[in-house]
Amino acid sequence: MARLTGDRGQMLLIGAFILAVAFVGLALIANAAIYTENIASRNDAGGAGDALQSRHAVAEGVGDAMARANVYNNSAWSHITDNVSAAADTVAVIAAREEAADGRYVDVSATGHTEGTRIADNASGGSVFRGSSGAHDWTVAETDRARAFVMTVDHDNVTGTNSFGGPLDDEFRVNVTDGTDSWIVNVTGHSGTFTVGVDPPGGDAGTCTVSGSPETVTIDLTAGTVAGRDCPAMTFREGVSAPYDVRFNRSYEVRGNYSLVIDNAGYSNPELQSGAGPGQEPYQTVAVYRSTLTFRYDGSGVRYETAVRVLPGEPE
Amino acid sequence: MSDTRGVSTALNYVLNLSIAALLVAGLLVAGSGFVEDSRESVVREELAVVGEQVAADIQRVDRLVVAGDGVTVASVTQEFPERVAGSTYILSLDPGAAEPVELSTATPNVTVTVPVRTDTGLGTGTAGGGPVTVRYDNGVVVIEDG
Repeated sequence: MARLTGDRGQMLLIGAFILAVAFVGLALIANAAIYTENIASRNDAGGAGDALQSRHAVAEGVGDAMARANVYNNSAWSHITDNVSAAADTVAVIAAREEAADGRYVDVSATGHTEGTRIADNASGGSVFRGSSGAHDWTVAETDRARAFVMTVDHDNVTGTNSFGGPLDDEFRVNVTDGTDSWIVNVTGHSGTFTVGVDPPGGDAGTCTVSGSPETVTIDLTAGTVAGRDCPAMTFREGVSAPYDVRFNRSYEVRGNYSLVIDNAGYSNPELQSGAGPGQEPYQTVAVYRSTLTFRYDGSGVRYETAVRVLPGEPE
Repeated sequence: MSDTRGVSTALNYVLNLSIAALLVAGLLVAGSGFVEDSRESVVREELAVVGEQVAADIQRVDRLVVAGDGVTVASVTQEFPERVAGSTYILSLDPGAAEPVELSTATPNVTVTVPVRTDTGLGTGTAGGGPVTVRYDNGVVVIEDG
């Protein structure tokens, strides 16, 4: 008969102990799996999206200031650049204050401005889109780059001397041409509907119509909108290479205002009144085509430092 | 009197003991195998998640670079666990591979690769666990311990 000693049952004890340890390990592993879910659910952990948003807001703020400086402070190049630089400083202060609330650092400064020319017809109440010589088929600009090309056209005066709904071959046209290919936008009141048609080289991109009868219709050629709504057919100078001319044909067919900014410094065009302003339409003034900023962003997990080109209304 | 008297008690005892030993051994083998398998699958899963996060960081930096007009600094830092289910791991970036982000542990021997598509080129780099920085460096995106 076996003698009873304290060694009995060791195998079961040790086996149970090892099993217990294994299952504690299993619990730890399950815990790691739960932590994995936690990492998987992180969303933009570093805040790179905030950096881009901040950059975009800064560019937009300075862009708006630039557009206003080009229109209202355009008596000399230095006045415009001073204003745009001052606006960049103001935007920097606002952005820094806003981001500081969330523990982030933002710094913005203007580093350079590229001179261009703003061409506009701002006649109050609108005018027909003729050149200063009185020409109705004329070249508005000869350039490599244009931006912020916006026309505001009287809804009920389309087709000029003809009544609303005049023949289609009698329409106002914006013709952007490189000499070989042309991108044409026409504005008609065909059958009583305000219609903007787009004809790129080798085809018809389609039309965009305006329903109802608003007093004026804004056509943003570089942004591709008609009356504030997206016009899918309109892609500025699609299929036309730079340099190109911007021409108006049969400008007596519409009334309204327009403006665009081109990247030519000291542009001269006999059809434009130089250094003039509203009251002497159409006119050209010195303008900032592009400003360059340096933008710096320090967030908890993101560092971002980049140059930012500010070109409000540039199509490409 | 036969000399086989009283054997049944001893036999009973031996049988009992061997059945118990078999049971315990079976449980140990099955249990530790199960734990080891779970560990490996958790490691694989966690490496994949960390890899996806690093790939996302690479794409975030790529987005910052593409959105900028002359980027000088773009970096994203994220804190990851030092160990996955008790094992240390190595994170590496190999621009030549079809799935450039590679994570591996030695015990258990697990390697996970994650694809990432960027407009900016990728550079080479390695990092351990903990904070990992994805950074734009002279035209390429690299990773490093951060």
